[in-house]
Amino acid sequence: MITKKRLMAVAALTATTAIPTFAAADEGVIRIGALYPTSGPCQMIGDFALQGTQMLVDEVNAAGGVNGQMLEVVHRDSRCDPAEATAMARDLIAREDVDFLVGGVSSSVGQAISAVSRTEEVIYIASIPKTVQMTTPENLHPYVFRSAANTNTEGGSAAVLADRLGLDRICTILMDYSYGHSLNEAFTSTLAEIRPDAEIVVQEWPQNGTTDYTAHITNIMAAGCDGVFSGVWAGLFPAFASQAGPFGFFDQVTYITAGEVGSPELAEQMGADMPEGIWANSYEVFYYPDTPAHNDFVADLQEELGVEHTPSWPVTGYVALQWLVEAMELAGSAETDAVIAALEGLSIETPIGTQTMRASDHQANRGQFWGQMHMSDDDAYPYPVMDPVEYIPADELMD
Amino acid sequence: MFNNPVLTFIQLMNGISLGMNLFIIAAGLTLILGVLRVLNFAHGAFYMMGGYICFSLVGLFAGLPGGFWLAVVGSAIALAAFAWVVETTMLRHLYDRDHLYQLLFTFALVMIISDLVRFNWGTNVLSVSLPNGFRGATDLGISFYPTYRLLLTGMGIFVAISMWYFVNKTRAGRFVRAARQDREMLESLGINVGRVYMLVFVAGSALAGLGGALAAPAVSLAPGMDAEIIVQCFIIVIIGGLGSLGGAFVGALMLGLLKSFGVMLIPNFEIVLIYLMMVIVLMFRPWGLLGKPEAK
Amino acid sequence: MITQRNMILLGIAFVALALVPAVSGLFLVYLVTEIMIFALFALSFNLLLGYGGLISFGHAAYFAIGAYACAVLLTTLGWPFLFGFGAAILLSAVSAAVIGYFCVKLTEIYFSMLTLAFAQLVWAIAFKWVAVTNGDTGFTGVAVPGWMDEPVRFFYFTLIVLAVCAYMLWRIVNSAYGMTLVATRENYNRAEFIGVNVRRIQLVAFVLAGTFAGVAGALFTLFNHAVFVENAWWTQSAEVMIMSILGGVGSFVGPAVGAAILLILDRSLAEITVYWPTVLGIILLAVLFFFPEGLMGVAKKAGRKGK
Repeated sequence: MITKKRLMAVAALTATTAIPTFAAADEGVIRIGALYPTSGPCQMIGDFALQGTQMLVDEVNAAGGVNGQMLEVVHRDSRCDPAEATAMARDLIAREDVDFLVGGVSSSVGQAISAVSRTEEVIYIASIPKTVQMTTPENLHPYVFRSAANTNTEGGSAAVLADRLGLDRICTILMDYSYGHSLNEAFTSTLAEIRPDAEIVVQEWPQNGTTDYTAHITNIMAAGCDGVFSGVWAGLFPAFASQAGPFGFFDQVTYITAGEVGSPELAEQMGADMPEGIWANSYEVFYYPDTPAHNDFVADLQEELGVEHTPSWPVTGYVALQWLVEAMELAGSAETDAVIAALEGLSIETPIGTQTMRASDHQANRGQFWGQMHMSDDDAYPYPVMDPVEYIPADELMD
Repeated sequence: MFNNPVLTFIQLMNGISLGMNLFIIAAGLTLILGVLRVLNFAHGAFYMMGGYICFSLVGLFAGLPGGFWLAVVGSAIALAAFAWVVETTMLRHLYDRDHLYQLLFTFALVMIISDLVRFNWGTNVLSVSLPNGFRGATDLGISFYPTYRLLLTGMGIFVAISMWYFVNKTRAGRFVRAARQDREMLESLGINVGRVYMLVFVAGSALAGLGGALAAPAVSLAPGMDAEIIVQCFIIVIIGGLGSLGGAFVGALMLGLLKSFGVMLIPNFEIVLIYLMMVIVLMFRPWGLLGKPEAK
Repeated sequence: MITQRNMILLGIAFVALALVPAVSGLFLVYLVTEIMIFALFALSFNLLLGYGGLISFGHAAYFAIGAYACAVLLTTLGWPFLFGFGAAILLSAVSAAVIGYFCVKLTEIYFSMLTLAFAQLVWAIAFKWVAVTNGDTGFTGVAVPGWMDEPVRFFYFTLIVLAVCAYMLWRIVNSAYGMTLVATRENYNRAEFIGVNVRRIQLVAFVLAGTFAGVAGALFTLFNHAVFVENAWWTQSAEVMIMSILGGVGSFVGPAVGAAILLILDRSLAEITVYWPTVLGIILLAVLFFFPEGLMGVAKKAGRKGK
């Protein structure tokens, strides 16, 4: 006979096993909750972003902290899963007593953390999620800020390139989820504005989880377009390239791709498999710009990671925290309301240049680096690099 | 679209070659499912391991003639060895237990293997270059077609024929067939059923490793690739009939063709359609298109 | 006698849970709320697995339907809370009835596969029907009524819903119907032989399980102010299965205990190591090989020895 006694055990168990190990909330410390995926499909990005976060914290602490208070990062694995990220964000606030949240990678995780930050009234800096939905009027709230570029900037800058390259018949291949659809809206609307005669010939939408793109590649090649705008991001691109290459795809069309395909870590990984002459973007590239601030950042990162050629993702974690630090310094406190007031309209000097956080929609004017991929002629770095490379600013594009 | 014969032909080839690559992996899954009655959720993780091991072996054998092919064979062997360890130390003690425990076991394997891959190979996207001689395209008369995908197609057909021959024409194959239908009878004949099970699990896993290694140059190696493939393999195995090799072949082909023509005819809803197809097959022919209904 | 003692124990458990917000911080309030939601989900699942012997591989579907329906009815359509909440549960029940009608025609592995196929179909629809579900971005900003939109209040709301549902489930499994359901698990043919309509018995179990899963899903939506497509993905179905087995499918409260253990393990392991999946995997293996009856099985044995 089953007894109800076991219900008792539930209670006993929840009461004993889960005795909270309350983090001693040290008054002198500012705690920052970082939600980056360190497992699952997005972990490649999360690990690096977390390292960038830690690097800034170490720098700030070595210089005496913020307003005399030390920074501390508390990390939770957001796993690229919004439900998990929601629970972890709550956990950070309720248990770890964090003062701020940073992180997220996918759009859904960004939205999930934003939802928690709204109900808990804790500032959240979205360092990587790009979907414009996060900052549209119905979703915007006082506690969410974005240091990442949004999809408008990314898709719009691709349209700027398409215009400059004189492309008139354009096909698109974008992943059939929100990231792809947002890119599409940005690209097509910007293109219609700046190059009204250009025609979108065919639109391909590979499904979530697809590993085979040949059917889409074939359709595009049959459509006879001169340019392709793609949202096949860095995690998927090697597969796409190895399937498209043998068809002669990259020789037939001018390929412009969003999704950080130009990042040094991917270029190094793909080596000669990176198609020559495609146009790609990145959040950062260690070889540009040649400014003291950027060179210092790269040197520090080299030391931090112990690698010669630094990856592009750490800068996202680094800058997200830079916003907080500068805002706290300006406000002279870590109080939420004061930091929000300081963040709105704030301009900071990041390793890649000055950026401003718009007061109206809490979006930083973060642009992206774009360039044409060519094998480097530097013997010390025999990998594809962006050449020429430029920073396309966000100001004209982010709306 | 059909007014463009070249396009239609290429899409046909796309569908077939995708289907054949999927078949190699799904064949292993259906073999294990048919004989051991174990729903192996770790099959996708085995496939992933195959791809990653191939990546490492390609590096190791770089410079050797046919290094890539050695790496492919090495991956299959590595997975066979891994499966042998899993079977002899753990899985064999679960055959007499409820399905449920076997499922749980394969879940646990998935978790551990995904960590193992992360620990060993890191989290960056890795890619394997196409092997020498297979980088370009071949003239098929109607159009050019990527040589490596022709090879994948050939490999799938080769695996299909060899498996058909093994199961239907060899003594060992007869045991496998018998084990699929009536375990008790086999035991009463004095056959070591445990050994048959072990060999089937090892062979099925080796196929996952082979499939992963062959797919490595055509897909990117990244965490999460196991979850993508396992769902597709289940669809194939269900549509074809649990345990049916011929069914897996037909199922893989159907899925491949649906994917290639689906994006032309019903873009956007192919994903719903695939699951709908799976539901309909199960509702009206639960034993699959080519499977046999079980005797009551 | 036994029932009386159990009623007392049940009462004590209820009071102990009810005291959580009074004696602990916000963190535990959140965690226990989440545990209660998943405990209900696991209890509903065990009606199929533990009592009916039906291995459903798509139980997440009804959780997700309840969750999405609750979100859409309250937010998009602006229904009053009770109507929206009730209709969401009703919709889960109806979906379970329709899907269950086809599933119970099959047995064993085919049953599992068809439940999986239907659940994946539900996922695909949630993923593609962006206009209603907001696709993979997730449905956020759910209009939770003000009177419950506060952690401690919501905790008590969840506790009451859980208590009512658990009591109903308890009555169900101990009713004549529940006994018949167990009989169909024990011996399908004999049950049929003595004139039991096995399929109908199983269908009823399927609908009941789906209904209570829908309640859990609706609670999840209210708790998070959001619902995501991941809630319908097959891993969510696997998770509830792991919970049930961890706790023990052979006892009524086992799955609820399993839900608590899994969530606590999940949270605490993730803090200690990035390799938490391995640790969790090893724990699962240990349960599998050394405590096949689950944790409640161990407790039961220990209890017997003690007497």
